[in-house]
Amino acid sequence: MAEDLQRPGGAMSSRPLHFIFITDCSGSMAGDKIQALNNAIREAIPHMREVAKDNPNADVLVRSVKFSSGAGWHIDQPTPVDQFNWVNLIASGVTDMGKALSLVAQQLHIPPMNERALPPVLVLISDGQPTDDYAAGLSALLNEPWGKKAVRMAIAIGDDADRDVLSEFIANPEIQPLEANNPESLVQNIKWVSTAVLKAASAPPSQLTNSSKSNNNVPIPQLPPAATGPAVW
Amino acid sequence: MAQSGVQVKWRTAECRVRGAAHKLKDKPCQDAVKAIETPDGVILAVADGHGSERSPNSAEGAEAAVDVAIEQLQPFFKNCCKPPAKPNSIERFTLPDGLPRKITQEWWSRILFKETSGEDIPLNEDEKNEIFRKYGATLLAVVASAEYLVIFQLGDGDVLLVDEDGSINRPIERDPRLFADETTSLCLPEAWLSMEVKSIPISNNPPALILVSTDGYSNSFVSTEDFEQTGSDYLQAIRRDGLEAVSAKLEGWLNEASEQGSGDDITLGIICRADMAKGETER
Repeated sequence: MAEDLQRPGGAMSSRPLHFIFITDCSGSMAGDKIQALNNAIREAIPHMREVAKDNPNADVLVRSVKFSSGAGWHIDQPTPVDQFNWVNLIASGVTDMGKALSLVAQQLHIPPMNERALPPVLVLISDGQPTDDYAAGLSALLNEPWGKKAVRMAIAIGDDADRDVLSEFIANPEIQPLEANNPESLVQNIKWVSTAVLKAASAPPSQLTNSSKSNNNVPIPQLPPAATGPAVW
Repeated sequence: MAQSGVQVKWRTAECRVRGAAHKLKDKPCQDAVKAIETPDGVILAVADGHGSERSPNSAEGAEAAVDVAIEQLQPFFKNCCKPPAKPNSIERFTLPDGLPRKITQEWWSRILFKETSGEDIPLNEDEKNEIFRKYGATLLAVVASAEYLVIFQLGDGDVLLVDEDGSINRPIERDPRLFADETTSLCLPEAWLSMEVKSIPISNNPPALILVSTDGYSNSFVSTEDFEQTGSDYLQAIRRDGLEAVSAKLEGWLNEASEQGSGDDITLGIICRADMAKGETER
């Protein structure tokens, strides 16, 4: 009987949205910068959960990679945002950004990624200049289909951050790195990428092929207002 | 396999639902679907409006796309399926020249008429393209006669052919450009060049079922295999309970898919061989 008809097809699920923090833990971040970064990400998590709750058809999965002398996964499992807890970073060593980008590139390969995912969000946070071959890592990332289509945002901490490198990572002439010259602006910028950008990536409308200068399909929301307060970094 | 000498007859069912995310954000359904059954065969068209900020009228664009497809393809049976020179001869089938271009240009004309209220306003190419973009939509259409299937696809979405044993064939290869929610569209310049057309003689081995859906459906499943399982499941359900019974369930199933899956609008068109469906052969 029709009443007994089962729903056709196999397992269903919302579309995965991978959100990856790529964080600089070099020696120059030691002290109040790394503490401010730990606090800012921790503060952003409840706001990310709110965005995820309002967009139930995006399965927001968060993880983090860190770089200093070498690079490694700080939180390696793609963790549902409801279960995601920040573990404090400790700063020391140099700035091997390229190795971190290579690690991210490996994870954006298909598989382990699948084609039905939503565009990933990558947030690169750095206060210095890469000490390794960052261009090789960036090239590996941008050669992955999902690396190219990812929403790539960057936050420059302090005057010494290499804005040219961060702009190369973003690869969108319409978007500049966000500036964080004190703890308040770092909180504001991390909150913005973790909420406004996450929200935009959660339900992107269809876009025409090759219509975007940035290669990604997520309309970037209006940038947060410029930071106020004294520049301490 | 269809019995030799028995003419294949087709039946259609279709359903579209507003996406769960669209309901939450108070956005309209931007999909459209239309089907006709004639003594010569059936035509089914599905369209998916882009829904982006630059395509605010894409729901209307999708409606226009399915209307144009049905109108342009309707003469198909008489013009294309000529009397056979020899039984089972493939020569009896000819696809009219430039049909994808004709469909695209008719859609453009209709959009321009809508935008200008029929007035003759001079517009340059950029202005026209900007107007077309406001209405941007994909288009999938299938013509099924006793002898042939002709499948048209411009943009994302899925067409599955389901054999009697439940196995799946995809008649049109996946366009690698259709990735990360990017799609080709009727609104693009020379859109017809991106329209894939596949004609398949079916006299000896017609599929049991053809499923045509917008990308919101396949994006709701964990994997391609989970999505393609719909083919054998729909066939089994139609065989057991009939097309009407399945059709009555579609809205609930598609709503469930959107809620648990993509959140997107979902449209599904079914073309079913009458002898596969319980109760249809008596019609």
